[in-house]
Amino acid sequence: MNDEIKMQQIHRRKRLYEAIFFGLFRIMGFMVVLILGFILCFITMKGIGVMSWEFITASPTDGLTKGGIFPAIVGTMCLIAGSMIFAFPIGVLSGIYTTEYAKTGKWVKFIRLMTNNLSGVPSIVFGLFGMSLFVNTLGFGDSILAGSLTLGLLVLPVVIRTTEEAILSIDDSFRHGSLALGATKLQTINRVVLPMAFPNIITGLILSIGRVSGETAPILFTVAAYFLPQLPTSIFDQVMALPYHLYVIATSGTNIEASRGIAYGTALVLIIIVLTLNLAANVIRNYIQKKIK
Amino acid sequence: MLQLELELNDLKNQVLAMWQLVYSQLEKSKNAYLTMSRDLAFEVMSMERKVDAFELLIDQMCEQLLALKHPVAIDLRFILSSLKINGNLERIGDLAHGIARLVFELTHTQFDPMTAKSMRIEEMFDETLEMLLLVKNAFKKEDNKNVAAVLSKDDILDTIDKEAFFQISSKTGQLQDEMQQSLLIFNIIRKLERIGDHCSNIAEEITFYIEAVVLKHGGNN
Amino acid sequence: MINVENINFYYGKFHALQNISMGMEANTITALIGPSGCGKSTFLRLFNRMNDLIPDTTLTGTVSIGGVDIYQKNVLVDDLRKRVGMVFQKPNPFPKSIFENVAYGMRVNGMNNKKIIAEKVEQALKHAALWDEVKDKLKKSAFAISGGQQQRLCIARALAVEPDILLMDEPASALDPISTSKIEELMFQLKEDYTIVIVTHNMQQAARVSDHTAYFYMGELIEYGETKKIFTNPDKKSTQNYVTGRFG
Repeated sequence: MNDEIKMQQIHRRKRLYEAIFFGLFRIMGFMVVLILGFILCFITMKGIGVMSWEFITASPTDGLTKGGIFPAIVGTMCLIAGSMIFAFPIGVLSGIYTTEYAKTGKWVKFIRLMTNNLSGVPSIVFGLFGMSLFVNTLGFGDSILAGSLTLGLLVLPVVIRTTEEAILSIDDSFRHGSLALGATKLQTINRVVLPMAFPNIITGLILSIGRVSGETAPILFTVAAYFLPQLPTSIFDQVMALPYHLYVIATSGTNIEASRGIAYGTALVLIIIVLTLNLAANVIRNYIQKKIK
Repeated sequence: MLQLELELNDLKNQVLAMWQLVYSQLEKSKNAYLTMSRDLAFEVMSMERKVDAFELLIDQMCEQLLALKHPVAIDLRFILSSLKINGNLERIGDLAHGIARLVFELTHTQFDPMTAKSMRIEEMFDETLEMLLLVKNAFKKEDNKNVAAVLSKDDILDTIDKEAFFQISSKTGQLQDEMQQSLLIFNIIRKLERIGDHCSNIAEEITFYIEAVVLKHGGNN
Repeated sequence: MINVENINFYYGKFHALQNISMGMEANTITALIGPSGCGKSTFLRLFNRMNDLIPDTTLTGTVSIGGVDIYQKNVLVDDLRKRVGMVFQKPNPFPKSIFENVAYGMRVNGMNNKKIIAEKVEQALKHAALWDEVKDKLKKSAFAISGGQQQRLCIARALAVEPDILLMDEPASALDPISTSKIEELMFQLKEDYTIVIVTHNMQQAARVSDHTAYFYMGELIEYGETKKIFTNPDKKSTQNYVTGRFG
């Protein structure tokens, strides 16, 4: 009889622990949603006031206290495009190399270590490095080119890592099946591995875009302009950028109080751009996954 | 058709071919007896080797089928009964051969088959031939409705055998020559009776194969 | 048709195959049997050089197909693998449509004539006894069919490149009994056009299906002969112990 009671007690205790922990997990989950919701709501409420067609399509006026943020939007888009053009091909190809060709050995381990270290470098250091190399030594000056390269370097480890993970997650049985039919390694990668890894590689793209849009430090010394209403005509031009613009308006504008609304508006636009790009990438990923199935 | 079915068919065809041969051996010995033909008797004796060859072949086929195909249910019963039928057919063939040799010896005497008509030897031949044919068709068509007929024919043969025994043993005061003939004829009758037994065995095996019912020695029910 | 002489194979220092010599004739089915880890799958992979994908392996001796040593320096491995197809233990169709799976081999070999590809896909699916079941869903994903059908799809995929030899590594071990017997029946038909080597841990399957059987134990070829003989009266006691289940 005693044994039975003990068993029951143990069972009850187990169930209690489970309830506690699962409750905690649930709370944590909700908290994340709450935080995100709070940020979005806050920014939206504060920034919706300045939202208008003019805001998005016109340049800033009156010492950045009035007008729109169009040049900054264009600038940010240019930088996203530029950094992706640089980081994406190099990152993906590098990821393919380390996972498919140079699979084992000290060299690969070293590359991986270096990649991880690269992702730990503070973004301001990247900015300084970019200024030193691209702006000064290579003579690009403060330009979209310099900014894109710097931002590209920043997100390169992310792209490499997600590519590696995506490719490693594909079971060898598919590779073997392809090779056994007489396909070369390259054909196997192109026709079987990459298509399957694609959705997850796109995830890397999404992460990188988010990162690039919002980084301020790397563009500080390499491309960002305080006030440049003209749109860029070449990659050697400077541009305005949303995160920097936000910083400028909120801290060192000519009339901080007056332009506070614009600051929130800028933040709202930035968030919308990033979320829209994320959404688009997700849609593309789901479409591709459906095609595979 | 499955590979297994193809091979079971091969086995069946071989068994039927052996059956054909054994039937013709028996038929020839009948005709050899009725016409006292040395030639026919000799034909039977020379074909005996072929009957033995069939037995070896069918044994080997059954062994391989069991080793390689692991048959179950009706397939297993088919192979087991084919194995037994094979043995019975070989014995029948052997007995027909033995009859042919006896006929051969009879032809060296002045024997006239008409004088032994009362012993119903021709009837025995006809009954055994028909039994052999009935069970062959039962095997071929997988239909055992004639099993009872076969078993009752066996009873007829037993009767004829017993009557012959009395007839011959009651013939007193025979000349040596007649005595020899009687003994030879009696041997023929005995062999025909045993052919009947073997046909009954075959009938029982066919029932086992088709209905999984054991008839011999009182059965398994 | 296939010949090996004095083969020794090492995974690093492990002596996986010890001094094996045997030959296989064209249009026969040869079964490789033996307990787990005896080297039979390693041996199978010699013939399409899939062992090359494993690092740190060594091979001595000759492996020849049609009289040609396939490990010579000037042999193109992709070419070899077109002539020697392989079906794996677990069905591994690509995440593409049924049609594209079968067409894959042709496409990687540079064939792009739509008509010819469509014809050969149909032919291969018929050869693999799958055509009737999938002919109106060729564009559906390969994962939309059952496991047994997927395996026959993999067989069709291998047949589509028109190999001479088909290697099968426990092709039915992941399948249910009905799919297994369908594949075994298929092998009898395939035998007419291909030479088949099959690894199986299921002895009864080896007995049912093959013409010759090779019994491996701990990397050695213990006995090789007609399947009839191996399962009725093998030469070596070790073989008899294995096939009667008295092993171990």
